[in-house]
Amino acid sequence: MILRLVIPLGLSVLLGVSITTWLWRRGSRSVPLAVLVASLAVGLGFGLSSGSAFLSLVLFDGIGRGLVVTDLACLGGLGAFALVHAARGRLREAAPVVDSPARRSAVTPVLAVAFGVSLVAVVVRFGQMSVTYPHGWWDAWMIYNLRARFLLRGGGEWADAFSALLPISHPDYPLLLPALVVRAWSYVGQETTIVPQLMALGFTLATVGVLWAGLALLRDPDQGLLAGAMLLTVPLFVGTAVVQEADTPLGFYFLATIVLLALHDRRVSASPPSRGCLLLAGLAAGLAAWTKNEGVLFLIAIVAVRFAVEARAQGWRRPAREAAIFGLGALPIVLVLVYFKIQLAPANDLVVGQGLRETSARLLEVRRYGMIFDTLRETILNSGPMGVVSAIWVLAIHAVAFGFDTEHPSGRVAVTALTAVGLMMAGYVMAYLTSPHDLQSHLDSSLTRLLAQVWPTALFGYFLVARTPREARA
Amino acid sequence: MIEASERRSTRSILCRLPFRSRVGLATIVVFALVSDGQLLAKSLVDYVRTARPSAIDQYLTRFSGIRAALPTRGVVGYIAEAKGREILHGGDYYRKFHLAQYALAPLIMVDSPDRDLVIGNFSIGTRMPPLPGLTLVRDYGNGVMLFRRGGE
Repeated sequence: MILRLVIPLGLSVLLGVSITTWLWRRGSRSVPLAVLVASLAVGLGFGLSSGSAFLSLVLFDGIGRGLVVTDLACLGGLGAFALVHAARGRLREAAPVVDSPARRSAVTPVLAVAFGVSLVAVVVRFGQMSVTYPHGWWDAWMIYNLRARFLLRGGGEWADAFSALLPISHPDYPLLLPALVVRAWSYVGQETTIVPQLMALGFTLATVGVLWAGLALLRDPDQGLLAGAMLLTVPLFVGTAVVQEADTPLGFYFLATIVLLALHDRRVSASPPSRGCLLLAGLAAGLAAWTKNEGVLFLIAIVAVRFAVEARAQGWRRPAREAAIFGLGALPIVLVLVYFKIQLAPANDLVVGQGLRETSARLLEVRRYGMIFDTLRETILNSGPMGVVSAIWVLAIHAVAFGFDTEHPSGRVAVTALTAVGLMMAGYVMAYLTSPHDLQSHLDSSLTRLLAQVWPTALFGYFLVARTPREARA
Repeated sequence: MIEASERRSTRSILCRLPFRSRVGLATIVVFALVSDGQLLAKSLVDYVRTARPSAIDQYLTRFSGIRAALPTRGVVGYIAEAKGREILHGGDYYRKFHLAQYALAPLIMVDSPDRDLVIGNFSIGTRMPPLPGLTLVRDYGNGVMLFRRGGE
């Protein structure tokens, strides 16, 4: 079975590698760049494989041998793209994506130990949770793995997975995770729980990799280690990551979008403009929308915020051109999503439960604002290791200790990231305010996961402008 | 491997860090290590307490018998012991209902006895009083029962 697992996972990563060739430069021996490309290849490759599996379901009326056709077509197309890209000499360009990252400092070993121990602790927790909860936690089996079972067992009737008779399992949710799981099950030939477990581990490690490598390339390795340690030690991220829910993949795509935008900006400051990072950023944002409905909000928010921030700094022409390229990257996945929403998905429960009178009444109920604020405050203040100290206070101490580099070239991207996170949170608060469900239950069952989605991006934005230990010694 | 000279210079970098920066770094490192220690300890305790096969796998095997008697697709009803608190997530009633749905997919289950075939999911040993309009087809002996709407 392990050997059979290599085929779907290997094909996924190959898809990711062929599309991340934009980032490579011949002769580059930077470890952070290698980690970044590998992490993006895993996450983007998983996402593209999911799209391939969905195409197979639609074109061949069920998951089966057609999957090999769509997988090979995607791989062939992207492989040809990579070859053309290489043949045009882009791989031989001398200009690196960013300047060579700084070498390690005196604090690097200390931070590396903290980061390494955190990574080991999370992997151990992953292993234990996979034994204790092999099917994942509530949403994992009730939504994503259930949907994957429908898609595999349903044969030609796979669309039963989106029956309106299954309202609690959210049949309107996009299909990135279920399609990815059913694809691997189809190759393996059995519904093994190892598949969703490996997907969850892959997305978690890829998130850590993109965060560390992005900051190591754009700031320095110490900054990446600090951010990585903060990511891995906060229970709201770890707790969500180890239970196979879609919030970690969603958080990965949020983070990948922002990191790729930051790399694009640094690249254009040192070399001729490149469309590669922008296209990949658009693809990552599109895959976010294909992961969960919150991803659609992110796609809209990031386009709007990016355009506003850049237009304020350099006029509207260039940001408009960049937005078009970003949109081109997102387009294939957005088309798949639109097809899914129009042809298959029933209406969303939060939307169906609205009406002028009901929604107005909820918005005018002051008590709801208090409940949301209290739960938000409690969740954030309890975000530290079990009952010790909140991660927010640790970040506050870090901010006072190191301060910020407001003139850093990536400052605008940090503003973009943190504003997009703020807009996302505002959107979530609005969804809670107008929720037709019991508000406290809705908050209790979802707020931690929503915070876990934006936590990696918020950390990246914060550490992008925070002074590094190297800078603080002045 | 760091060269000796580089090591000396990096030590001096650490010494040149302002006091508050050293406090900031130490805070994050201690925070990380405390969190990691707690996570590892919790993982160990939870692993030792873990049932094998897992609790969810044990529960899912309850439905292996009835699965063979059900159609491969369609909609069936569901009845169980009295509903618990009506909440969005959590609660034993809903957990058991959704686990049954997870076990029996791609069959669609609705939380109602108003279907031709109805799955009963009760505690082991439950003696069911006659259910109006439903005829017991088979008691699988583990709390799972199959009913049919209408007479014998």
